[in-house]
Amino acid sequence: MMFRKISLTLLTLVLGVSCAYGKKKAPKYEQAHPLTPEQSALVEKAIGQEKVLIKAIQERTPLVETYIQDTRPDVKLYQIPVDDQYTLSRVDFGKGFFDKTYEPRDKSKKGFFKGSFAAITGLSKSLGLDKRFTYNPTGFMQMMFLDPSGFDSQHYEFSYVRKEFLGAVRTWVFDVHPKVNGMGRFYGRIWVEDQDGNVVRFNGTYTGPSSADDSRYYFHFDSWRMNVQPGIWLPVAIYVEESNRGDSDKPIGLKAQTHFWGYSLKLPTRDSENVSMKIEDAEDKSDDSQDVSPLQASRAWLTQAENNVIDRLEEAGLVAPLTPNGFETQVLDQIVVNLAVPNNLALATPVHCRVLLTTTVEATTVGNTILLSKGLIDSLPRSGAGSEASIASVISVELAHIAMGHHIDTRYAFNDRLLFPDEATFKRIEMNHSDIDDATAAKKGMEYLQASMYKDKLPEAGLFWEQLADRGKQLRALNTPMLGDSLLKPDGTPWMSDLSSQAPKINWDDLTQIPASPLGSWLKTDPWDDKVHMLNAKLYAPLNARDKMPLEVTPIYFKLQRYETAAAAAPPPAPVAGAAQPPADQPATAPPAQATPPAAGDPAASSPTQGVSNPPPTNPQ
Amino acid sequence: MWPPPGLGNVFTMKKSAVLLFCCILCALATKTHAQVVASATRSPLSLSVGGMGSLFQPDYAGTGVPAQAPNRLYGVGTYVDLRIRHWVQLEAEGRWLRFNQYENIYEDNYLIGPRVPIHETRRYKPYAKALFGYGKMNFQYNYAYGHFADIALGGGVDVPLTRKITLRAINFEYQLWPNWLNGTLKPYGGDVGISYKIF
Repeated sequence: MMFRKISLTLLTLVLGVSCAYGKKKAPKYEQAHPLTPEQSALVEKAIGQEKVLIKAIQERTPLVETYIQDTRPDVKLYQIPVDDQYTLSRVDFGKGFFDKTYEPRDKSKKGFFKGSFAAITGLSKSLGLDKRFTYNPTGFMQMMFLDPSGFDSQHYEFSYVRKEFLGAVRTWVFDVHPKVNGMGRFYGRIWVEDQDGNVVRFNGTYTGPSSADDSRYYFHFDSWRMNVQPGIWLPVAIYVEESNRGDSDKPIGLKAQTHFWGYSLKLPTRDSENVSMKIEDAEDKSDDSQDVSPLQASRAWLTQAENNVIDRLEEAGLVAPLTPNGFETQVLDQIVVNLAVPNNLALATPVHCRVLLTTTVEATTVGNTILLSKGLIDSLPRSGAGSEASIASVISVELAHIAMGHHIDTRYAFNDRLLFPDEATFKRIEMNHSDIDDATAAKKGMEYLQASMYKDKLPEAGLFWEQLADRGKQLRALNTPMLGDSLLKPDGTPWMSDLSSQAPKINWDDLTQIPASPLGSWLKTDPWDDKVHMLNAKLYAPLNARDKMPLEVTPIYFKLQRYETAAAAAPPPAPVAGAAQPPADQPATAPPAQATPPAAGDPAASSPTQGVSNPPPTNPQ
Repeated sequence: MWPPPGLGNVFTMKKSAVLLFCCILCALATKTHAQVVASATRSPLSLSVGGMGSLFQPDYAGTGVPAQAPNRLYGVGTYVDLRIRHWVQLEAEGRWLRFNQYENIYEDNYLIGPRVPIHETRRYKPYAKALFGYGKMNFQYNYAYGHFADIALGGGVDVPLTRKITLRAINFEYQLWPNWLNGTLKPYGGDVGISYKIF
């Protein structure tokens, strides 16, 4: 009887609590001005287009990359990074909007105790006991939506602000706030393009929990979309910033960028190099031999493995498809020539460079292909005397790997070894070199540099390595390679320590000294076909130490264009790079004045060139 | 005849338990739904330790049966709040009602049990709780003392003062000592306290 009474008391209590939570109150916002019929019509259009967009995204599985830097206030530099986190996922829109994370390479050794320890760690992680504050990549990914299931006039109030151009696209700006209570509802500002009613940008946050004790956090963000195909606007990038996360007494903030690409991933095409041709009366005695020497067979086998790996990485959206006369050939390949020629490197097949699409700072080689990550290229100094020499210093190490025969495992010549889900790519493909190989390659790379045209600019190039090692202590995720080699040794010193030791000390007050750039300074990725293009943005000299922001996350700003406009305005392909000497302050391979557009007639490459830039850090002079 | 005599209470209890479980599920469902997933989570685990001052009606006046006492017992106590999840919280308390004794009668409580937040806001955190444990009673003129099962139903309001310090503005408990000597003893009273959040 006693227990019955207790049970009934508890029941009443729970029902009361449930009802209290179930009761919906209208949130308190300022009264919205009533919309004109024209404005209402555009809002209704935007609501309809949002549903179309969600459907369009559900048909695709783009890659989503989030890089977060925790920051703390600094008297001199305003904010400095103190920690970081990197995630790469493939969005799975099957039953909901979730992400499948690309599992990082497993470096730990197996063993009973280590296994048990891992199990305990995993358990405490799943219980949320291991770490005080945990970022959720799915939460960052979902910032691509205003509200995936309830964006309509029943749940949201709209208030007209003004008309505004974002690049070449005219938009109507509205303030939006939810009419009903509930977590995860958008409130902020939206930009609606005036033709089809697509939301092209939204800026604000989601409603958080009512209790300060709640353990869930929503951050402020700025989400951008692009017109990637006729009539299709898709999410491309999100910038997140909080000057104080509010989870502790310490003023820890965060800055993060989320990028989307791979909306139109398809199998790479590779034309056979040996096309069978029948020529009348031809007498070729030497090359038509049906016999292959053991050395030839070994090389062919290695080439097959290398081609398989590159194809697989391209298919997984991790390597950018080659753009004809693009950044890779015009800038990077030219630097390879500048290093190879004076060093008399007679390689059997030419060396080419490709771009790994990750933000992590890493590089590696696959056969005669040098892979440099987008994050690495993006953080290299874009201006200053050592700009090109810095790129050369990275390439020289990779060139040394190739010349010294540090090739990948030939097991990838068997195609079955590459049949695995994309998310397992980092685990299943090993392209990193051993520490011994890295050490010998760095030594040899230094020799190449000293014999090259860059020998007089090596102190400036060394600054990049010095800066990388300096920030590497805080930015461990950025310097943790996903596929290739880190530029830092396990102890945090740079592999090219001979080079960094020649560099002057980093001086934040010397505004002519630019050791490294903010992330996103060199390249932009086409979200539709994954090709990389050089950023066509004006360069501004820093006005103070705070403008330097080496290896830091910065806000995102796009100058939007409509697909048709962009395709029609596409300039002719840039000329093939010559071996001419560049001006002193420009890369040898002077980048084209306009970013290389997709080749006309190539359906895969027919996406528009969108103007994108990181806004100048301070007032341009 | 079904249910057999004596088993009726058990079945009623089972039904109540099922109903209670369903209601808890409903309550959780209304709480956890969000349009988009949160971008970060903090470990919800927290532990607070506090001290309190208490004022209780002991419900015993030395007559051998439960009865309103002419005095109120004052005392001090300590409590620990362990928060594992928003809806999974535990409270443990020890209370020593040793002041203003009538004929040396005093009571101590050692209790632990679940606590449920009720519609928390940023400034006020009401809660309800059901604690179980034992109570110690010292009988008149110190001639005997005993330990008895103790069930406490109660609630209160916590008011966060800073990120680390929380004022327990009021905590009310209605206790049941079902195995007391002659019937069920029903002491009741309230506390005021302050707690410090260790993590």
